[in-house]
Amino acid sequence: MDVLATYNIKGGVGKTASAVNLAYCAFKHNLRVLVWDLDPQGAATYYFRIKPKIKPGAHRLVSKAKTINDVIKATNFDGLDLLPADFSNRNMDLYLNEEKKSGLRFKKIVKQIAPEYDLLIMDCPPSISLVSKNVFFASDYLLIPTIPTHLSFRAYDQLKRYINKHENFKVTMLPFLYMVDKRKSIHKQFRETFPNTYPEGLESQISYSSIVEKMGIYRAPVEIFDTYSGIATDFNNLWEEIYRRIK
Amino acid sequence: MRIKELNALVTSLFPRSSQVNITFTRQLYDTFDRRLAQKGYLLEEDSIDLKLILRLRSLPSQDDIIEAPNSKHPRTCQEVNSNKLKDKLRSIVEQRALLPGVKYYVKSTLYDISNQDGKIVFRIVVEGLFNKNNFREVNCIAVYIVLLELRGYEKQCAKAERLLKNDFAFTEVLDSKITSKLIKKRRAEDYLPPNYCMALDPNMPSKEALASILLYNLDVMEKNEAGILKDIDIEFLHDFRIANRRSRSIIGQVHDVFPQSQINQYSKYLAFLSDLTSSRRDLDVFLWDFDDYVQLISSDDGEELESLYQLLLSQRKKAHKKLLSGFNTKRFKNFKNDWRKFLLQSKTSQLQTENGNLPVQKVANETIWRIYNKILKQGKRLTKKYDYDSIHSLRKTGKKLRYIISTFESLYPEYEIRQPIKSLKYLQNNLGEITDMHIQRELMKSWEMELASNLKVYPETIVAIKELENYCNKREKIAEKYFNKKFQHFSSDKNKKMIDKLFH
Repeated sequence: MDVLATYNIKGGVGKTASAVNLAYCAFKHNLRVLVWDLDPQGAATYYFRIKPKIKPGAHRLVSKAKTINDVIKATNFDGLDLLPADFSNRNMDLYLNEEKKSGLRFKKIVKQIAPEYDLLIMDCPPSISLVSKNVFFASDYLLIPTIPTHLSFRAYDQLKRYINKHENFKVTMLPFLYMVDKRKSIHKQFRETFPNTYPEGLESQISYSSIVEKMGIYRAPVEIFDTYSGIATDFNNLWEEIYRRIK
Repeated sequence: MRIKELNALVTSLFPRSSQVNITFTRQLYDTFDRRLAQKGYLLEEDSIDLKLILRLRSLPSQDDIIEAPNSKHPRTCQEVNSNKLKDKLRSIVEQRALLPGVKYYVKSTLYDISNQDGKIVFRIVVEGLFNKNNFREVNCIAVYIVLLELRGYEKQCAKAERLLKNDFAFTEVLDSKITSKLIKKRRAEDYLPPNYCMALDPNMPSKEALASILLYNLDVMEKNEAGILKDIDIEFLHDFRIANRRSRSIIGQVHDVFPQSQINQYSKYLAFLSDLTSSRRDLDVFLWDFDDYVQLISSDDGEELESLYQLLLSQRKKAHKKLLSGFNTKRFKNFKNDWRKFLLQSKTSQLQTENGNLPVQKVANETIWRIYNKILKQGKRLTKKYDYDSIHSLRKTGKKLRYIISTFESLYPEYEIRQPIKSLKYLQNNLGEITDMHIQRELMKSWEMELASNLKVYPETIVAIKELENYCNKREKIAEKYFNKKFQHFSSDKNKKMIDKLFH
């Protein structure tokens, strides 16, 4: 099973939209997919029309008292499942801190589900914390949606330094440009310099589109309610590139 | 319980459901000395859209089920592709050949049952096993329901099971995840719903919006072509025709978006496709509902209508041949390529038309308002002086309005557009009843005349057909009486106010 995580220190940059849409693309490729919504906001859970609730809470998940299999739910797409968010995810750091080898707890959970799925996508909250440390240990690839602005790349550089400093993090970083507005000259500038400055980055870009916001209305991946839109094509292209990389 | 009754029960118990219908064949296998049956196993091969699925199940518990696709009909265990299935079969039948036994024709409806958030919480399959592929009730061997649990929603499925067992005396409710995979595979991979409502940005240029929608409709038509040509299921033609009609409505009703001189040729060809496929569709519907007709006549076994049934089958064969001759042409291939090219180019074309660059919201409002007023005029004339041709014309206008509203539905608040759609449907149901009964009566008259000239046909057949004609006539007359009331509801001030607010 390949493990991806959509991650960025900054919020509102497209982690959830990317996680949900890429999961759908992978599902269409006949992969068995699980999305793990780690964000207490539960946006990915909302998009899949599932109640953001884990009985009796996220702490049971990390303390081994509840197995992950008991809380996974099927989405409306047969073969694409969700481990829903729970509001108690906001205290996940505290729960993890109580456990031995707190940085590896997610890795153990991932091992449990590996036989059942081809792909796990973790939708992460914006932070650097024990949760993100667990994600870095458990993931094969970090997908980092990055809006083409100076502050975004500054944040990416900080993350890169942090991850490279820790020898034990084997995760591969895959930044990609998100919310690209071709009319803006500064975005054009970043688009041109991105491949040389960040050769580890993905070539595919996600254009700015208000259609993504409609995910909240239709509560579905973009391709469900707007199959032929440019943004649906962008996500498909991004998925194809990711798939080539991980295989 | 008949399969139609079972379907009606499911839709009444679970109103929040969407459905997909498929038909396929199921072949059973065993050795000459019935080793599988003796050891309590059943080997089935389902053939869906030319793909084969083999399934070994233990009886009666069904605890041990192994399923896998197979490349061909297996004559021995060697020809089973899945190692797991092969090993299991070998342990039971050893070297014996697998011989085809009973063959069933399966009519299956899959229901997705959703909660108020639109989340599917479980699925129901209503299946009928038939021993002939005409799916007539008299050939039905068994009808059953399969409940399919979804992970994380086991309670909802269990509740449905209790309801069926306790309130409706279902003695055994089968549970099979296998059928779900079979049917869902078709949906996920192949299915483009023809009634799909595309999400539109109100400010996008109307030529871009309409070109996208027309491209989607073309995709639907192309996707269903193979299924039509191979005559796998009547739904392929139905979906093809819906997509065609929707395209024709858009081209015919939304004016001055595309250059008229160019769009005319495509419009004509789409009309040709509609004519080419209409007789086969009419016959498909008749044959599908044939059992209902048998129930209507005073007869024990419906044998009086057997000659009519055979006549319809032979007419369907001719209609299908005509359809094939139209589809397997260079002209059709060129049309599809040229139409696609035209639409792709139209999205970004610099050619100016009056409405092409206007926001799609504006064009949608104007179109819907115009057709709505046309219905009001036509309907008012009819309330004063009734004649069938005008009813037929009003129904066609109503259909155009329905397709156009459905095309642009995403531009309007969901809650507000519900009522106009409902009131239009109310009127259309009445108009549909009048015209359908009229057309069916005319068709039956023509069949009666054709059969009457055949000396081998029994007089009872002609009597039975006349009974059906009378039935259709009665229904037509009843529906006519309600027309004024239905139209008044549609043209009421309350409705007008709502429509004015939304579209004017």
